[in-house]
Amino acid sequence: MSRFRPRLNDFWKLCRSLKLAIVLATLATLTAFGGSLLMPSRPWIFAGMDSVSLGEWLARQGRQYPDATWWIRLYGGLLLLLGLNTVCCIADWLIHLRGRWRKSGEYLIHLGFVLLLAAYLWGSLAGFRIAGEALAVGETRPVPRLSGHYLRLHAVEPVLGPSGRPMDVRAELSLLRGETVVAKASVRTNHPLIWRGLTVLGVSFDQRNDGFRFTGSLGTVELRAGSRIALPDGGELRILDYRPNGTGRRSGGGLFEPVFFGEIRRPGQSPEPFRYALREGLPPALARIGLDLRPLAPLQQPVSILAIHYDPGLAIAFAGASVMTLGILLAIGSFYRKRARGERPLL
Amino acid sequence: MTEFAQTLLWGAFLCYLLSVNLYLLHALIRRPLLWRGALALVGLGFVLHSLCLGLRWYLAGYLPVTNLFSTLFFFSWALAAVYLYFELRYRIHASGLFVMLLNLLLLGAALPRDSALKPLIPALDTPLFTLHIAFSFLGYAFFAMAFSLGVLYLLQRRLGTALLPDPALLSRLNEEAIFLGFALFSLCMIFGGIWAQVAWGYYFSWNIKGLWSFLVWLFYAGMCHAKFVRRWQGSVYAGLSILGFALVLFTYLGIGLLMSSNHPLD
Repeated sequence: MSRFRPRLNDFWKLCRSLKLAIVLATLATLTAFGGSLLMPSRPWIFAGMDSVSLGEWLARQGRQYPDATWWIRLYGGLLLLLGLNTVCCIADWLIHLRGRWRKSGEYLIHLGFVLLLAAYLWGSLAGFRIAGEALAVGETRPVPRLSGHYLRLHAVEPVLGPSGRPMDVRAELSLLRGETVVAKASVRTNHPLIWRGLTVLGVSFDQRNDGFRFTGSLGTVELRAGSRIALPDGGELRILDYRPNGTGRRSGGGLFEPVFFGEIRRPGQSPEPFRYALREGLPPALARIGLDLRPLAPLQQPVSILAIHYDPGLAIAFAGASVMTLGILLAIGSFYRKRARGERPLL
Repeated sequence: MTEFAQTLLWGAFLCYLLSVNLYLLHALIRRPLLWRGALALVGLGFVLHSLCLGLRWYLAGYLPVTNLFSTLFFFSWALAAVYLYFELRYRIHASGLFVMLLNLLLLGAALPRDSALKPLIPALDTPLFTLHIAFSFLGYAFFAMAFSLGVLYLLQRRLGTALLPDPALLSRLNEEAIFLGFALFSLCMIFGGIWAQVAWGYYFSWNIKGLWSFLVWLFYAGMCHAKFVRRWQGSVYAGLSILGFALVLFTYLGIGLLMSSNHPLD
């Protein structure tokens, strides 16, 4: 055992070596310097890097374009080694804390760096980013890839500037876990909904056609999926589904071919289904009972376009940033205190 | 921009221009009165510069550092502040010639550009933006100061003139500039990361500006360690300060003007 101790000591010295830190930082800088020069000339590879997590991007683009992306893996590897080297430095500092406590600020900066690196690695491997999720007012929809969590949109409205130009979009959102609301936010630019590692941002807003207004024998009525209209003979008209682009049986689908799917219910009788494609006219099932439903105008529902990002390392990253900030303040304070005492502080 | 702010700007520029001339004269005929005059002019220029910045801030309703004019203007203001800090603290006298010349170039490059104050887009309307840019340019200013001190160190090693401070003092001041620049630039990166998280949903962007800003941070983190390597103290460290500022200039101007990034300058 004593034969290995000197070798172990040498290995430990190498692991916590300041020169190793400089070499790794230099290599990482040079790798990223060279690699980043490829980025502007190959936008089809690199332009979408921020739209997905790094792990997903590497799995997709990294595999497809290995010649242009190998440097990112090397850069990541070097930073990982630098992080391990920093961990060893911190461990060495902790071992000798009694004699080195005055350098706490500097070592807190190191700790912040390690936490940020670990958080980024975790987020890159286990996180995800989804753009362009459309959620209509009143709609509750599962958060993609995060089971048991739902988003509910209460309202969405444009924020207008002084000249009347739309400047921003405000969306009133709730996040539910099961049936329980766990977070609520008025989402707009620089004000996302953040809950644990989940960040929901409002990107834009739109309108979605979700039904039609009709006139006829029942007066003016609005029909959309879920509508129920009482009929004069005691029965009920129920709308089960509405498809604005008509993927119904006969039309075969197309641009704005609205189709209603519903049923007529009467007491003691089995429901009679019907399909009302507005371009084709009133279906026989409705005409038979003397119903007249003439379409007046489509019904539009405001929709919020959201970006949903999940980063499980977010709390660690925030802790890292806080620790680093504290370290910077301590290091600056310590520097001026030593300077005031006439020492030449080793920065 | 109001005429008064324009007058303040030109007043500051003239003060800096005269101070550079006085520093130059001092380098030639070495009269204490000359560097004292030069320092007074830098002080006066900085007061006018600060008033102009304050007035623009008041008129805009936000810290106006959003395009090429305003970033050069703010960078110049930060560099003047950093120079005054070193001059008043360490009396580096003739060393001011090089720093103030750099400052004059920055402000001179800003003058012909569009100084109009434009409405702030919602994404920039946050205190995180103010903190991010303020710490960024203060960090850059310390790196510019380190660059100047590095050049002066190499000159002093070659010339050994009584006009410049002792190389040991220049090296020490260089280390201090790097340390303070690194500390402020770290705060810039932290606030920028928090802002990116709330604005775009991620704290690190693989946009070329984000990548290069991290490279600048990594480079200066390396420099904070390099001074402990005995063989690298002195000339190597001064050389690294010069190289580091080249990285800073490329990250600020090269990427901002020549490439498409999420930090456009115009």
